[in-house]
Amino acid sequence: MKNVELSGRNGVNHRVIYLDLIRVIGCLMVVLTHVTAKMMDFPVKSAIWPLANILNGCTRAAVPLFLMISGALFLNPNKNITIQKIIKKYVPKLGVTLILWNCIYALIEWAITRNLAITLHTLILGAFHLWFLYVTIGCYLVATWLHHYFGR
Amino acid sequence: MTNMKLMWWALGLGGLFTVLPVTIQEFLRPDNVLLSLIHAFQVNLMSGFVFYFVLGYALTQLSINTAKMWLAGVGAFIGTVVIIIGTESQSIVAGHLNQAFQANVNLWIMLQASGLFLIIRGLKLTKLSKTLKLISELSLPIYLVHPIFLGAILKLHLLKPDALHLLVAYVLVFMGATVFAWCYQGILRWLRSYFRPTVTRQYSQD
Repeated sequence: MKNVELSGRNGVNHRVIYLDLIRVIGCLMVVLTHVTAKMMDFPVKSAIWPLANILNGCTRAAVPLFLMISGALFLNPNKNITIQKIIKKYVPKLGVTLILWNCIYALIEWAITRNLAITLHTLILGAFHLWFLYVTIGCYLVATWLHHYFGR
Repeated sequence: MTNMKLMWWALGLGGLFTVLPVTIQEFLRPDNVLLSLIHAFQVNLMSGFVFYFVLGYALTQLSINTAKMWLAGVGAFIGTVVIIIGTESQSIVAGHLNQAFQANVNLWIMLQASGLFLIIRGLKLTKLSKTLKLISELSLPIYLVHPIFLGAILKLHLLKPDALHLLVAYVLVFMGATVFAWCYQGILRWLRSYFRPTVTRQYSQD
């Protein structure tokens, strides 16, 4: 199979259509997961619970899909990825995003609760869904080695 | 994955991120900082997520045909049904939501995710609408911001236990997050324009 996915050569950023569509579906799914998760806080015997459970169950693949897209792009041997590039470009970019959003959620937490302990917890560990950024950074770092082996 | 070095590397990762944290946490006091870090960053799940990372690449290397798409669809359907029925039955027994079947690193979600991935890949699309392209580009900021809009909906008591409120809440959260993400992305682009030249984008199909 000719693989021209995101070659990154000649300064051209090739995008892959089906990965973009998966990203869109993942995005629609993750919001639905979290909205239905709130519905599932209602009693199990409530009328809405089975519907919320079905919708929630249909959308659980959202975050794994995001990780699979990253893997599909980062482990592609055709893409010129080096340890330096990952450490100097991709990881700092996600790191800055993580710090920025930890601060935003900590500020919101402070505005709502005025509780320093909860605010500091959010500032250091992030809001509940930001674990995805920590995991992605970990995957990027792992990708430096995996990419080396896949390229052989 | 036939590379022996890669296999040992994968096993090493599994040991480092799964076996080691799970083993040492039994010996740590409940207030130990290392233990709270292991829990907070879900270190023992890390190898599972690395697995998804590798799986995504592996699925791009598979040749795909109609039969494989059907197989992927059946797998995704089975995975989804097990998640739904498993969660419902466990929750009824517990009397509250039981998330045992909703763990990201389990077979059922893996089936659902890989099935969806293969089906969409097998569609062999040649173009995407501008709206979908935009949502694709905004997916990370939408992910980052949507809990704020969901929190606002909850604060305003707009989430009531019926299907209409569920639909309205979903549309409001998604639309709100998308508009915010569009503005956020615009600001980021404006900031980046000072540091590097614009990158030309072209679409390709495997």
